[in-house]
Parts: sequence; C-alpha cells; structure tokens
Amino acid sequence: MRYIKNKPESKPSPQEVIHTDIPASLDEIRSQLDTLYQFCSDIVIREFVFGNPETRGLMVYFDGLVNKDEIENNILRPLLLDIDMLDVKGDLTHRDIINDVKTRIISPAELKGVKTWDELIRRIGSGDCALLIDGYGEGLVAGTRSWQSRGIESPDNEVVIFGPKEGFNETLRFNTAQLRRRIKSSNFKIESFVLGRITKTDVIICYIKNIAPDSMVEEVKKRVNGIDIDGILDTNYIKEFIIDDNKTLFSQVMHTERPDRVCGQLLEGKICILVDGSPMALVLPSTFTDYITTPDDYYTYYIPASLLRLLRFTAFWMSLLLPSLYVAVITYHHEMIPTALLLTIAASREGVPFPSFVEALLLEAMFEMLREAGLRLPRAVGPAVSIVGALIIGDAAVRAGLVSTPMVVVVAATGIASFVTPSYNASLVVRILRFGFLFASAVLGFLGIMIVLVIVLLKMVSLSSFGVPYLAPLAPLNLAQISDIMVRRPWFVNRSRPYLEGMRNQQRQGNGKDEGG
Amino acid sequence: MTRISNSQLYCILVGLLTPMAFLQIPGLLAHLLSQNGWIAAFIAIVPGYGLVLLFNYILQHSQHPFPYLLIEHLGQPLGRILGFIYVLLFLFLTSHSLRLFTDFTETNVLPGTPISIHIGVLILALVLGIRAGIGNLARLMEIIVICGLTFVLVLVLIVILQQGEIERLLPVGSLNYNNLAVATGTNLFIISKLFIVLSFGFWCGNKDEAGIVMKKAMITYVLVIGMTTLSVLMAFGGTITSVLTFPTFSMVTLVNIGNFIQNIDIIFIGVWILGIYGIAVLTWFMACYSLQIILNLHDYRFVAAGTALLVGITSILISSNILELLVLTQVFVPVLYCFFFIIIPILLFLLILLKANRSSSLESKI
Repeated sequence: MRYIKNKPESKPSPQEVIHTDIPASLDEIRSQLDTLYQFCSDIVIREFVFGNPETRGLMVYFDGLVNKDEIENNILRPLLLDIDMLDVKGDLTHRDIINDVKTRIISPAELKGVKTWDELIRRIGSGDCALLIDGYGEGLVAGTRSWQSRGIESPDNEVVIFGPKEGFNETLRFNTAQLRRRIKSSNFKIESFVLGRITKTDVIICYIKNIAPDSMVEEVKKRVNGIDIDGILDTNYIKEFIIDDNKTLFSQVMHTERPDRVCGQLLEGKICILVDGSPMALVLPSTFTDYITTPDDYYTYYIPASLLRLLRFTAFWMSLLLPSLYVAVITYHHEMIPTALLLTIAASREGVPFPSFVEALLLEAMFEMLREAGLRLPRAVGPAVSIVGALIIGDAAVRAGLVSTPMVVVVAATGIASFVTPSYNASLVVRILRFGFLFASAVLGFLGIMIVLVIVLLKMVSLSSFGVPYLAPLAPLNLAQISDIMVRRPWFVNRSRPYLEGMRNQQRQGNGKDEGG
Repeated sequence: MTRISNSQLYCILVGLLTPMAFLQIPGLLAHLLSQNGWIAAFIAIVPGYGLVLLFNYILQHSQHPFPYLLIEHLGQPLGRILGFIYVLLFLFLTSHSLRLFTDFTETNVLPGTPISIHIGVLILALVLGIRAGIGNLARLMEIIVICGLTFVLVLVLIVILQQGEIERLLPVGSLNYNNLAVATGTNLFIISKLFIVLSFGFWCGNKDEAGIVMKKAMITYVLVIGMTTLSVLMAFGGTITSVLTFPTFSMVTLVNIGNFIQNIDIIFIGVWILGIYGIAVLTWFMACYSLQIILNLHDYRFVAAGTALLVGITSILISSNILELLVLTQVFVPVLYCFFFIIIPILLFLLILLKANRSSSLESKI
C-alpha cells in the first residue's frame, strides 16, 4: 500500500501524446516534445522570446532536412529583430499575436497552421519547421524543406537514344515538378496521401481529369487508402497491395523512372503513383504490350520505330522459347533440321556427356548466375566477371567437352535476345518461364512446349489490371488499337487514345477543343 | 454469366469447327470425289446456311440458353433427360477429340510415349481452361483462331505456289452425284457443331447479331476447308490424296523454303494442338455447363475436375487402335452429329413453329 501511495504520477507515453491536440502552454509543449523525441539527437528545439510585451516562442525542426538560411532569414530574424521596426509593435496584444506573426511578420512562402501532434510530427519529419507560441494550442508550419539529394540524372535502366534524358529521383516534389513542367493543364491532378503508420510517407496519385476514367481513379484511391502498414519505402510496397491478382509472375503495374514516359501514359488515360523516397513511378493499368514498347519508339520516325518494335517482339519470343525449341528439336524432332546442319550439330555433340536438356539447363543456370553477379558487383568488377564467365562458358567448357558449341550459340543468342526486352519485370518473367518451357520440351518435345504455352496464355488472358484485360488489345481483340502494338502508328493517324472503360475523352487530335487549363 | 463479344463468339465457333476438320475433311472429300473434292467443300455453304437459319430461329425464339432451352420447349422431365443425354454426348466428343489427337501425335510426333501421358497432360491443361471461365476461354480462343487462320493461310499459299498444278484438278465434269451428296453431308455434320451457339449466343453482346456471326463463322470454315482441299488436290492430285490417311499433314511435309526450312510438320502440329485444345475445351465446357443446369449445381467450374477422370478413361478405352478410331470417326461420330445437332434441332424448330402458330391463331380468335 505504501508503495502505491508513493508512486509518482506517470508521464503519458509518446503513443498517447501523438493523438492529442497541441497544448497552449509552452512548458507543456516542451515537455511533450521531450517525451516524443527522447533520444532523437537530430531534433533541434530552439526557444526564444520576441515582441513587446515579451512572448515566448519555440521552434522545432530536424537538422539536415531544413534550409537553415530560410529559417534564419524568414522566420527568426523577423521575429527577433525586424519586429521592432514594424508598426505592429505596440499592437501585439495577446489575442492576435499568432495571426500577426502569420500574416505580417514571418515570410516563408508556404505556411500552414496545425493543431495536432500527429500532423506536426509528420510535417517536421518531411523537412518543415514548426513555430509554437506560448498561449496558443496551434503551431505554424513553414515549408523549409531542403536536403542533399541526388540530382536529376539519366535513368540507368531505361536508356533512350532520342528524347529526354531526365529521370525521377528520390524527392517527391522534384518528381511532381518534372511532371507538371510537361503537363501544364489544370486538368492534371496530383492528389496526396500519407501512408505508413511509422514512416508517414508521402504518396501521390496523378492523373488527367476527363481522360483518366473517374471510376478507375476512385478505385485506385480506394485501394491506396486501404493500405495499412507500418512503412512504405518504395513504390513496390504499394504495388503488391493494389494489384488485381497477386498470385502470378506477370507484373500488372508498370514501373518507370522516366517522367516523359509517365506523361505519355497519363495522356492515354492512365494513372501514376509516386512515393517519396523512390525514383520509381507506378503506372496503371498496365497491359502486357506495355512491356514490349519503349519511349524511344515515339521519339524515332515511325518506320524504323515499327521495324525495331517487330524486332523486339521477335527477340521476346526468342528469349522465351529458343533453348526449349533447340532441346525439343535435338531430342525428338531431328527431321526438321536440314541434313547438313544435323551432321554438324551431331559432330559437335560427340563426346558431350550430358543430354541436351541437362546441357541447356547448366548453361542457362550459369548464365543467370553471371547476370546476377554482374548486377550486384561493383561497376569496376562487373565487366571483368562477365568476361571471365563468358570465357569459361564459351571456350573452356567447350574445350573440356562439357557442352557443345551449338548449345553455347543458342544460350548466347537467348541471352542477347533477353536484353532486347525493354522492361526488367518482363525480362524476369521470361527468365523464369524459360526454365518451365525447357522442362516441358525435355519431357514431351514440341507438344510439351505448346501445352505449357497454352497454360501460360490461359493465365495471361485471365489477368487484368484495374479491370483492363492483360492481353488487350489482342484478347479481347481490338483491331483499331492492335495496329499501334505490333508496329508504331504514325502520329498523324494516331487520332484517338487507347480505349479504357469509362474514358470520357478519347479524341487525341482534330476535335479543335482546348483540353482545359 | 460473363458477356462475350461478337468477335469472341466468331472465334469460338471457328475454333470449334475448323481444326479437326482441317486434318480429316480434305482426305474424306478426296476419297469420295477424287479431284473434285473441293467442289463439295464449297457446296456445303448452301446447306450450311440452312443450318445457320435453323439455329438462329431457335435462338431468337428462346428465352434461356441451352440446355435450359430444352426444358423451356419440351417441358420438365423430357427436357432434363435430353439435356443429360447431351452432357454425355459432349463428354464423349471431348474424349473422342482427345483420343484422335493423341493417337495422331503418338503415331507422328512422339512415337513410344504412351497415349495416357499425352491425355493426362492435355486434361490438365483443359481443366485449367474450364476453371478459368468462359470469358477467359473466349479470349484464349481469339488468340488461337488468329494464330491458326494465319498459319493455314500461309501454308496454303506456300503449297499452292510451290507444289500446285491446276491440271491436277481436271477433269471437273466427271462428278459422282451420290458421292457429292455424301461428301456435302459429311461437311455439313461438321458445320452442325454451330449448335453450341444455342448456349453461347445468349452470352454475346447482342443475341440478335448471333446469326450474322454464325454466318461469318460458317463461311470462314467453308473457305478454310475449301482452300485446303484445293491445295492438297493441286499438290498431290485426286488419286494420291484419296489414299493418304491425313493428306493435310502430308501436304505440310512438302513445304520447303530455301532448302533450309523443311519438314515443318511439327510446327503444324504445334499450331494444331492449339486448335484441338480449343475444340476439347469448348465441348467439355458445354458438358460441364449443361450438367450445372441439369443438376442445378452451383458452378460448372467444379464439374471439370470431377469429370476429368471420366474423360480420360473414355478416351483411352474408346478404341484399341488408330484404325478402329478412324472407323469410329467416320461412321459413328457423324451419326451422332446428325441426330443430336441436326435432327433434334429440326424437331425443336418445328415444335417452336407449331407453338408460335397456335398462339397466333389463339390471339386472332380472341
């Protein structure tokens, strides 16, 4: 009993404080700040006195996230020094101090009042600076964000020959600015969300009103709002929550680092999601054909662009099926090969101890390992590993009689073809499926390949991305749109956007209307 | 039920009619009419059009898709019993298509591999197809039909240009009219598979347009079979074609491009697999869907796994060798087509007509 009686009054926990309003008393504010930011060495809490009669104020921000010059010149200096020169000096009554500070004294461009700790914590965590004044249960948050970030660089993973070279970086506002710079219409909407219970990450959804179907925009917002997780560190976190089918290899949302590509997709009625801290944008809905096309197609004259697109389609099928076709032909269907070639292949396979399937499997596995090693190793070492690997596979293995020369040619051609696929996600899927086809060809030859192909096609036709069939416009067939898939349709005939259910404005050219803004 | 577009309905119908006939019919026509086989292929367009009108009439005068349509017109016990017989028929046709295909691959593609392996693998893919649902099947059929028709067109053109000799079609005049009737009838039995429009027509965008889609599908079928028969006859001549078991397959082996691309029969079989898959999955789907309606089940998808064993065992036991199977295909199966896809629909048509006349005379009396 004695122990209970003498128990000191317990302080509220940070979790309890966070959901309360900001108190009026500066001492209480200070105490709650200490509770919230205990053991946070990067927090800066600066108390000061300003005005006449003297009023106590407090400034909070995180070191490294703010522009200190702006705080000093636009907030502290006016409050501490310039206030004496203002006419308001004598009128600073207790009642309207905060209003006068907001409207007449401090001068940051972006200023907002906050009343809860939750909001204040989120804002200062994003690089804003909070000003709290004794006697007011409200804080003023000034936009002072500034931190060291990667500049705008050319995206490594989506290189183009022609066209813009700018890519997104890890700062959300820079990324939205790049989009806004390209789409100036007032119909271009950027809606903000905060996701992540702990990370409080800024997430934006952007779309062009009247082009993106309203129902789709609402559906995306609903799915994004439904995410309840402790942290969002990259766009992929969101992707896995919002896709239609998460039990498939096929990516139903497109990743891109290129603002110009995002803008191109927005003009086709699609929706983009950006996350603070990630240079990757998500574009949705996305169909299979999006993974075969590149922005370069639209920056190059349509005839070579169309031929290159056909080449890409061919390379896609090659990278998927070439090793399995070779194994099927060598193992079961020799009659397909012209006699002279068959003799050459037979001679080179003489002495190879493995069946062609094992040979292909070994080489493919080795190739995949080399590719992964090349990606993860430092840039200085990567090429060296590739050269050593190529020499081992291409020369030493053949000389040792472990593999045949035609198989090396087949695997190398497959590897080159797989690099032609512009999307890393699509290329990953192809790499995995290739092994499935390889097994099927070893067991049932061409029949096995076709059975697996049917199963893969079945899966693909059953997928959809936000209601848009994954294989559109091939299945369901849309003849008007298919011409812009196999080849690149010239701009002068590209009069309408690809159709999306609920799209209000499908016209791209020639209706003479200003699209707003 | 999921809606399908008119183009998807077209692909479903073409996919059901064409692939098996592509292999069988040119040989049969040549066997009956020698170098004049192609005439029967094109003549089938006339009775085929009659069948289109027949199915369209039933479709437009029914409120529910097949097999519920049988209950609608024939009443509860008879319609349900007949519906169940149709379930067995569709299961038999699925097993028959599977067996015909696997026997063919066992003989020509992978000798030595037991047909049970072929059937097992195909059944797995078929069950996955039915479980995917009719909407997805319709999309798959679009891809299959586009690939198939493109391949056939290219193949026929290459053969005609490389091997075709117009003299092999002569003389045109010496036509055996009895055989012409039999050949046209044989072709008509295949066209009678348009019967499935009595179910699918209800799920397409506009039921009123199903007749036009049927017409297009029938014309496509006639053109494909006609052109294939023509190219086979131009390549081999009437006499040789009539003794070949699968002249279409033999025609494929003739293709030689630059002395490098040759013996592309395996590519033909690859594309053909897609077509056979289409036929088997559609007939099996019809069996599952009909069973759902007849037995008031919740979903047809679950019936697929249950009937898989039945389909597998039937396709193995259906005949002991390929010759027996060919006899079955040329004698027994056409009878089934004739009875279930032509005679019963004609009776149904007469019944609907009678009912319509009776109701209109009643109305006039009132």
